[in-house]
Amino acid sequence: MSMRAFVRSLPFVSLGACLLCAAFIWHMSIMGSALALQEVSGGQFEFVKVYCIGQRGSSIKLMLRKEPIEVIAYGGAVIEWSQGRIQSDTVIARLIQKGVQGKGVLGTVVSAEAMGNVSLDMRMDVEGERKAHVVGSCKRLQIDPKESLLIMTGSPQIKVSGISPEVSQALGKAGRITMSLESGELLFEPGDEQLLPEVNVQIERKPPEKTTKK
Amino acid sequence: MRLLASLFGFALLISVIAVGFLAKLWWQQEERAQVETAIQSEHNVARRSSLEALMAQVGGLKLRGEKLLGREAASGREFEIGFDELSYSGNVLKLRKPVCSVMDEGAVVASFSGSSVIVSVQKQLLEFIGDVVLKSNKHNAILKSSRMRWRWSDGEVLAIGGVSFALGGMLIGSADSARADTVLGEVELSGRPSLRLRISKWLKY
Repeated sequence: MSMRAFVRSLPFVSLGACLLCAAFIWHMSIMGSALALQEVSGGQFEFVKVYCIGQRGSSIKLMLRKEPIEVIAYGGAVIEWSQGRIQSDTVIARLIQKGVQGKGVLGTVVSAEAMGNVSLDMRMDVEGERKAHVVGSCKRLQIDPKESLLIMTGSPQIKVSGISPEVSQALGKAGRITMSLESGELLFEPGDEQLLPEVNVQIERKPPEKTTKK
Repeated sequence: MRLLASLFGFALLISVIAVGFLAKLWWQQEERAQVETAIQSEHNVARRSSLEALMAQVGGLKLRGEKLLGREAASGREFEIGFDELSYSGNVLKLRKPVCSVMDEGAVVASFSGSSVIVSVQKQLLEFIGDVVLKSNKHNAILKSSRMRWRWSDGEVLAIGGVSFALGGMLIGSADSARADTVLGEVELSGRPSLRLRISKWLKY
C-alpha cells in the first residue's frame, strides 16, 4: 500500500473504530439493563431501608449474636420498601442470612413488627394497571412474610382509595385488620378489643349519560 | 644536594606531624561517638524498662519485640498489636500504623487497624485514629469510622465520626456514632442511623 492510499483510508478506519466503540457501549448498556430487569422482575431480592427520623435518643440496634439476627430501631423508626413505608416508635425485624448462588448473601425476613404509634402508607397493584393507595394507623403492626400478611391491632383503622373507578374510597375500623399482601384482601375482625368492624365505602356518583332526543 | 636532602627531611617531618594530628582528631571523634552511643543505649534501656514497668503495672500489657501483647479482661481473649513506630511520653503511648488482632483459642476473631493508636495504659483504652476498621471474623461484619475507642478491660467499642457498618453482602448501615463489642456481636448505631437491607424475601406480591 502506498503512503497516499494509506492517508486516504485513515478517515474510514477512524470511522470504523468509532462505530465499533459505539456498538460496544450500546451492547454493554443493553447487558446492564437486562441484568437490572432480571433482578427486579425475578423478585429474588429487594432493598429495604430502615432509618430513624426521631431527633433524640433514636438508634438502631443489631443483635448479630442472635439467630435469627434481630434489628431493633427506636425513635421515629421507619421501614421503607418499594411498595410503601411504615413509621412507628419501635420497629423489630428478625432476619436470617442466606447465601444465594450468583447473588452473594441475602437476608430473609422471618418476621417484622412495628409498635407504638404506627402509621402505614402503601401502594398496591390492583386490576387494570391501577394502584390502590392504602393509609392506616394502629398501635401494633405485624408482618408475616411467609403468609404475606399484614396484621394490624390496637384500634386499627384503614383508608383505601383507588381500588376501582366506582369506589372513591373505603374507610374501615375494627379490633383487628388483616391484609393479604398478595391479593389485597382486607379482613375486618372484632379482635381482642371486641370492636365491631365498621366499614364505610364511598361510591363515586357519575353524572347520568346524556341522551339526545330527536 | 644538601639543600635537597634538608628540604626532603623537613617535608617528611611536616607530614608526620600532620598525620599524627589527624590521627588524634579521628581518635577523639571515635571516642565521643562511643560515649554518645553508650549514653543513648542506657537512656533507651531506661525508657523501655520504665515503659514496660508502667504497662505491666496498670494495663497488663507486655512489649515483646515489635508487638504489644495483652488480654481482654472480660472475655479472656488475648490480643497483640503490631506497629511501625512507637513513641512514648508521660503515660501515653502512640503507635503508628497499628494492627490489633484479638484472638480466641488461637484464632483471630477480630482485628482493628488505623493510621495511629494512642494507648492510654491507665484507662486500659486504645484510641484508634484515621480510617479505622474493625473487622469481625466471627460475625463477618465490618465497622468503619474516623475514630474508634476500644476499652480492653470490658471489650467496649465506641466509634465516632462517619460510622459505616456492613454485614456480609446483605446489610449496610451508617450513623454518626456506634457502640459495639469487640467481635461486633451487638452493634448500636445512633445519631441519624440508617440501614439498607438486601433481602431475598419480603412482602411477596
